[in-house]
Amino acid sequence: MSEEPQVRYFDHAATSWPKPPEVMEAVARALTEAGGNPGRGAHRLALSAARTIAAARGSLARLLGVPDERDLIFTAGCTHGLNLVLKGTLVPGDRVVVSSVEHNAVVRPLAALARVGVEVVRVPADAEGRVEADEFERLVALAPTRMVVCQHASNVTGTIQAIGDVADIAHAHGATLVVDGAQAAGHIPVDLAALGADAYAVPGHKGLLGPQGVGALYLSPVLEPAELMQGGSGGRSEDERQPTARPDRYEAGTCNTPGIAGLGAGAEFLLAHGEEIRATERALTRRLHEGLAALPGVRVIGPPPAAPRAPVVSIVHERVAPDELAFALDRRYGIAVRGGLHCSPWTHEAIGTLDTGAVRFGLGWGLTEDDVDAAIAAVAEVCR
Amino acid sequence: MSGTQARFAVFGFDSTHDALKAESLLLSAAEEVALIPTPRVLGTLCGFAVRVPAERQDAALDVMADGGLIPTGYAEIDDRT
Repeated sequence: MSEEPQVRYFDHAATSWPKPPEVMEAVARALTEAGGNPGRGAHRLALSAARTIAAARGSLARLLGVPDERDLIFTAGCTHGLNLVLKGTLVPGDRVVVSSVEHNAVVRPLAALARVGVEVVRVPADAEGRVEADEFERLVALAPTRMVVCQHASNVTGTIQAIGDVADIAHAHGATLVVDGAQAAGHIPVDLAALGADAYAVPGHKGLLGPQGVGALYLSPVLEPAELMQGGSGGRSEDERQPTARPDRYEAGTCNTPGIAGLGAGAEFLLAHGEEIRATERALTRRLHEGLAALPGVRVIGPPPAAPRAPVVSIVHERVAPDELAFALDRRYGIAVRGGLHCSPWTHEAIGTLDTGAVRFGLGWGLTEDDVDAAIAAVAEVCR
Repeated sequence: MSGTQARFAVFGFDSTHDALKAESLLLSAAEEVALIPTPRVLGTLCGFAVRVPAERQDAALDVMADGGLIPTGYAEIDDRT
């Protein structure tokens, strides 16, 4: 029986792996000495759990530049946060202008809202997955617009959108800006105090290095979406109405304390090492991009190697199908990548790969030059 | 029960987050502070409240105000130290 190859993990855009030891220790602590129910009761385990959540909220707020921690809501993930702000804000008759490179975390909630009378207008993108601010301006100015939605970075091409410009356009026309930060948070600097987004959703388990099943949503004070759920909050128990104070309004039910603890530890890890991690990711991404682009028959989609991008490199080969290549890389070389449409059919449509899909390499913490060189050599062999 | 009976000021808040923020601010200011189950006299605001010695009430309010926090409930209680 042949030996299993060493795992070389290039699927950080789906979820980061491995996690820093500090993250795993924080999760374990939340299940042991901080194992009470946060905000429910004042015994030492409950207080410890509540303090764990407060500390995590503070760490994440510092990392993302959130001025008031109370505006940072813990969610079950980025998709949850996006659903909250979209469905809690938009009503039939509203108009929303959205980039045409969104992930299904935005596409599907908007499709559901369109079915009940929300007008959804798509802004076209170029072949690199970039949406021009001028196009946003043109379409937002056409009719009264309640909301603009734009991702910060693409999970297919790595393209980084000009969020500051889009925010200015939205605000100039009386709209609010909602941003999907799934591929940006942890991978590129995010300063929400300066960015201009009115809502910004992040997952905990990708670039923020936390566990799955947890995320966060920043809601600026100008946005007051209706909560998706009502339930226990630990206070005002005699009142049948959901509390209006943040963050409790949007965190009905017992929080995912172990997940939040891990996310907080991930945020602390990035506060300490983020600059170094991002520099390594940029260098490795460029090395991979240039190495793959030099292989016969391989086309790298998205921006050129020197352009700013999230650490994602997707390729198509003229002969080898993405699913075939992804399977061979895993089975023969231990290289974990993702083939297909990456839950982003709009993006693949915009860049012309809807029929074929692509093989995506998502880079992140833990990868080395040796991993990148091994990946390039493996693609060369499979596609020979 | 052990301990000495004493007079305390108790502050209630709208959310757990604010109660913990108050505790943190008061600890940073070297105030004697404890988190306690919210006394019924405060209704049921957040599940726990911030307790300080009664004579430190004004000082505690100043510290919290400097940190941008205003309690939403207040009571005085006799409690064990």
